[in-house]
Amino acid sequence: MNSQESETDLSKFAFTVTRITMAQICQSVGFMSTQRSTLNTLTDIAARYLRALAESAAAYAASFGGTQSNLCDVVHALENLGSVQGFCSAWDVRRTRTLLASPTLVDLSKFVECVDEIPFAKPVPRCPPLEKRVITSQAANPTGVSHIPKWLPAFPRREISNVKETQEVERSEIGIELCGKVDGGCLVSKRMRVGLLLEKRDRVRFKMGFGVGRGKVKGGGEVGEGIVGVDLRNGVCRGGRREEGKGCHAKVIGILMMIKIEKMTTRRGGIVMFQGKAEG
Amino acid sequence: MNNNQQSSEGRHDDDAALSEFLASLMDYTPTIPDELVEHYLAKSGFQCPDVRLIRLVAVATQKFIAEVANDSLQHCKARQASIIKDKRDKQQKDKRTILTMEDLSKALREYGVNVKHQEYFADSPTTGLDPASRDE
Repeated sequence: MNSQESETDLSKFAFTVTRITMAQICQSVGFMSTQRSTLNTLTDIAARYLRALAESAAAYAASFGGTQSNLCDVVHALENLGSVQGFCSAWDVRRTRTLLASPTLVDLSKFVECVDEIPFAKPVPRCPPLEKRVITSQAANPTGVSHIPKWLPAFPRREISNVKETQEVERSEIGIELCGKVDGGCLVSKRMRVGLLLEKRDRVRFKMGFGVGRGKVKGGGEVGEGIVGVDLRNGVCRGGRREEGKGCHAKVIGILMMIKIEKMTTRRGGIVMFQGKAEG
Repeated sequence: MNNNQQSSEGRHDDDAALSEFLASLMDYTPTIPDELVEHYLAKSGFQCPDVRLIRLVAVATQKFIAEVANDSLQHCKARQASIIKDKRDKQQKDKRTILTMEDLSKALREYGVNVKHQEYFADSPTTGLDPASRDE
């Protein structure tokens, strides 16, 4: 919240300062007074012009593969924004004159020479730099976990949950989400899962078909039903017997990681029957 | 050959003029303060360590706004000149040059910015209707 508040305050402050600037410019041009809404509109337009210039220049710099903009980028951006109004050699696509001799720059130099300086009315305090957020890992990630970058926050505290709870969760969430179980709000990695499941698990039977089918699950004496939605229409299932142990149905094996497939038969219509043990 | 020589000489002149202009930028203080310009540039992703470029952007914005203000002043004066009345009224009106939404939107239209202003705000949907229909 604090950062949000400071951001809105900062934008309000910037808007107010820009409004004073616009009022000074209008006064120098010859206006005696202005309507309040008109001044607000002019301020908004000035801010948008500035930002459009900056964005355009930054885009040109990025397209050349750099992060910092230089004079050429700014001149390109000026010509881009000035093309609506038109400038002297806008017709010259092949650029017989160099970029740095662009008429936009020439106009700017004339403006600087002719127009008197109008210094800003009051000194503007420099905004202090925003606090840099330091990412500290409260609990260091375990050293064995090399694939997780160090700058990420640590995992939440591991709670050894009841085995019953894990089983219930398994039954209720049978489907494609089996490869990662949701425990305590975070996706537990495979390695950690192996440590959590202590009991030997029951035999699990699945039935898969085209589109969404229903799978029956037996576990611990209860029969539960889960919805299995696996589309096997990609030509993976071609019918006919396949030898066990060979990973021909790579997709399905990817999903059913915890289940060791003992026997596999395919029937007509593409319905695949799996019988296997759930590994703990 | 002559063309090449002339073009290279032209480039030297251009470069000299450009470096002079950039040097003069450091003397010229744009109306928009540097801190404000830096704030907007940082918001847009513009990174540059050179102060002269920041001043260039500030001067470009100032020039743009000055042109818009100038055009709206021309519109205002044209409108006042078209209303031909007694000498007294003319003098009074010349003193009061007010920047109105009308003039600003006319001036901005040439720059590709469409600003439409609500003419008035009514209290309720039935404001200004006949009393017979208002009762309903």
